Amino acid sequence: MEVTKKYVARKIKTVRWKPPTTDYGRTDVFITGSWDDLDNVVEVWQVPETEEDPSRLHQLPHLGSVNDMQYITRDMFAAGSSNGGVKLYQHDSSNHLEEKMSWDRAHTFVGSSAPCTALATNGDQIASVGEDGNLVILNPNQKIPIRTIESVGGCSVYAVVYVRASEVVTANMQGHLKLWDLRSAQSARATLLSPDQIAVCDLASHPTQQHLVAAGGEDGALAIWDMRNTSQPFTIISAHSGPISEVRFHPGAPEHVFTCGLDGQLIHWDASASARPTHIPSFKNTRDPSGGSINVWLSSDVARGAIETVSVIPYSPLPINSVDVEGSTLIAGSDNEAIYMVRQVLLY
Amino acid sequence: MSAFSKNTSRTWSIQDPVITNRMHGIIGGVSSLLVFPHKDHYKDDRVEGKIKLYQVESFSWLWSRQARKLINEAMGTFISLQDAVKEVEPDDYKSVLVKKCREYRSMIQACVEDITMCRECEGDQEELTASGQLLYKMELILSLIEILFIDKKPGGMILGQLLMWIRSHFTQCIEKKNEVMESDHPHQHSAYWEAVYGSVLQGRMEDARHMLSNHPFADTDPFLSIDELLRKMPFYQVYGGVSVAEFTVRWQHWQSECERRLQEGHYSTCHQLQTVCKILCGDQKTINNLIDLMDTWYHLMVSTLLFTCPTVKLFRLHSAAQDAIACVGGEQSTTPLDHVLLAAMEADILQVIKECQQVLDNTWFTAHVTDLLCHTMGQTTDQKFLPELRESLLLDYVSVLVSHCSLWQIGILYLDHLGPSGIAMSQTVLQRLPLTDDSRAHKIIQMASDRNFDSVVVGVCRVMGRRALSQGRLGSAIWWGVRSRDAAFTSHLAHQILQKYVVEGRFESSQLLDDLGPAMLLSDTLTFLGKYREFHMMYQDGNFRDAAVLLVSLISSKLAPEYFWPVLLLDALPLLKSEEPVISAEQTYELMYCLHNLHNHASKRGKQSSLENEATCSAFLEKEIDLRLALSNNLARAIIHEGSVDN
Repeated sequence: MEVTKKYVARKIKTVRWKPPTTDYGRTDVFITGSWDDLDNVVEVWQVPETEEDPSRLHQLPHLGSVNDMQYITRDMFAAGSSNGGVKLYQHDSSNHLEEKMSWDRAHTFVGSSAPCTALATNGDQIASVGEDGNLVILNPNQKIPIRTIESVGGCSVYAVVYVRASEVVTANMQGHLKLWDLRSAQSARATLLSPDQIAVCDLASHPTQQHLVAAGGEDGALAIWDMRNTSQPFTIISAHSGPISEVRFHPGAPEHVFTCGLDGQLIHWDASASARPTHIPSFKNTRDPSGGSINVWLSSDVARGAIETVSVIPYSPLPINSVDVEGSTLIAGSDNEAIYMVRQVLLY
Repeated sequence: MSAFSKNTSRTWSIQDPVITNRMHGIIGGVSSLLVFPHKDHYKDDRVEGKIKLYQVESFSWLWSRQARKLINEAMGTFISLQDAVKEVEPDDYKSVLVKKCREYRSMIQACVEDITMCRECEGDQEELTASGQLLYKMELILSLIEILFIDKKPGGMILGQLLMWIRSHFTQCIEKKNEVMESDHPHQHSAYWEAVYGSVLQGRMEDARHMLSNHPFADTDPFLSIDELLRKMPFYQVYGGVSVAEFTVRWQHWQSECERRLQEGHYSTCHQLQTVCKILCGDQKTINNLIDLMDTWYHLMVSTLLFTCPTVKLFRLHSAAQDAIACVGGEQSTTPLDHVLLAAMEADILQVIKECQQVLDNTWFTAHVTDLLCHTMGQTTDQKFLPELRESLLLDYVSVLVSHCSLWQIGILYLDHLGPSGIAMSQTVLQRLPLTDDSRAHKIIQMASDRNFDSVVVGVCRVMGRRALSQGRLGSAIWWGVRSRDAAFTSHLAHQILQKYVVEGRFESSQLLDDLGPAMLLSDTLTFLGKYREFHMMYQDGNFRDAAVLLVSLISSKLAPEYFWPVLLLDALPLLKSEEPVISAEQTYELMYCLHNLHNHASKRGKQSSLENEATCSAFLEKEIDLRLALSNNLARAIIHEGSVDN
């Protein structure tokens, strides 16, 4: 595992790998969004084959801080801004960015704009949440949002994630998770509670087991929720000494989760040790792939908190804002105006 | 209008007719000034034109993109230096300090490379060139400081290091040599002999010999002779095992050999070789004549010392420097950069730092160098001013950082290592940072709570809560109130919510009140709010008996604010009128007592109440009769009921 750090002269709020062109392919291009600067930008970077630092391919100015970015399809992504707008960009094969669509007042307070805090996508629509507490569903082809679900009580919502094609979970600053069924006209199907008004800062859904959601909290604890049993989280494990800023499941190996936080740590949660093979002899006598029928995250080991945690990045004095992993390379953006790149992250 | 300071009189004027003769300014932020036309109360002037407010901010080179990388990397080195110095024994400081100094230098060099790359792409060429020169100067000064102060070799023989310093900063002779050697007939190239002289002056004997061997006459006697001399020149190695005295003997023997050969006329056929030999003999005049190849007095000084006094020690450097300067043009032609180098050679740290401040217009360099020197010299007692100077320069540097919208986090990290004044500044800065949105507020709170600045946390939460309240987002407001653990603010919020309920008749943010949890206990009013909401839930669930008990306890415990009693009593009305008696006699007495008090207060306040109170009062008065009737009915019923149960 090697860690490289490249200084990029801007504080990075979001990093995202560009999805590979084929399902099992590799990707070597990622995008970053900056924040808190006079002129914020969205940039495209390429990771070379050799051991060198990533190089910048293209840069586009962005109004307001880039609070979240999500790829909707392989060459379109949406970026949520702190000025309340959501913009759709095209990222073509020559790694050039172009703005395609913009929803400027997606989130508003009374009399001013509200920052958009998180985005989620199911490949078809974009769900956006912001500090005004509203959940806005956008269609990439339409200027007017399909649906706006207003919150009652005016609490900022910090995270959103799709668990099924038409079901969305949002998490707000009070630590409440709400499951919304977008097909129905009524409000949340279930409200999940997290004790003590600890804010939930980010949500991540398991790539294959859609009922599993991981929530990173303000107290530095990672909570694993099973949506089938919504009375309490399946388990809560603490590792960070400050709020968690992002949670990510590894898309190819979902028994690995990565979290990064305001305490400057990037932690790799490895539940693969609790993966047990099925004892049911199948016709071909094959072993189920981990994360398959027996979900490692719902095993008793994890419930006990017996899970391996490894700190991936050496001590950073400033917060690490974002992490993304694809294949065996991990990228992270921090307030130290640097991008970290860790190759061979899964092999120790 | 114009403004000028004592030392550097730079003047800017604002082109605005309204503002002439009447400018007034106030501090607008950490380093910005707000300037506007001043209105004199005593004169009745008509003002023509729009009145504008100007924000004047200082721009620092530190805010350019190249400098940002330098700032961030330097922060890492600075912090690791402070930590290392605490952990390591004072005797081992030197290796740590040398390492950190080299880290700073490599940062500067990386920055220079970035600029060269940038120059090819885009950007303001002038600015990039200026940045490049600035960085070159910084690296030059820093490497000299490393040699003279930090990386002192035992024995005090510095010529070897100085020679390396000159070689790495003056590469014209190498470039010339490459150019010459690549041409078809090197010896006919116009720069051939210049390259040879340049190499010799920098002590690059191998290069000089290589070039001379390409000369067609390389086999002749003069060339072979000079080749031998060049090959045999002794160079002092610090850890070479040869003592200074022995080296001096060898060197003098070698130089006398050079002089002998020169006098015997070995090189009379080729005057260039004669020049080379004269250089080797340390002939001042010859070396001075070649000043064009050396550009600067320090190159001249080092080259002169190489061939006149290779065992020079630090304390002699100053006079050698003065001689070199005299040759170059005297004191008049020295630049501020020269002053810095001269001060360093005089081992006068204070002067070095002062002169650096003249050369460079940003505080990055002086702050970090002073820090390095402070740790290097910290042990000796005659440099007492250093720690204070270090603190003051670093505070200046930090104040530039925190005035930038993005670099404030780095500034706060530096302040951790600057003692009590750093901590005080840290608190002040964190409180004054603009809170643009939630994530920034969270980061500020995280930094403040890491450093145990509870007042800052409370302050930030209050600002965010107040803002949320003004935008009507009660949920967020309460969350910030709870987070601040500030009873006063939370009470205020709770009162706002209750008053809204009194006016509107419903809770806007009922969901958040349901799940306050232990946060409810933060303030009495909030507890009341939570309990009241619980009462609503019980009532909606049909759990009337428990609801009644809760309601009466709320009333009798005086948790409720006075303006809310009418609402509570009105809530009690349906319970009083319910089919089954849910309110006992005792409880009815409580309610009656409450009603009685309320009536008294209302009549006392009758004349002074505001419109809203009047509205509620009048609504209440209408219901009062109803209430009294219900209370007495219930009392009767309850007494009977309890009496019969007893029996």
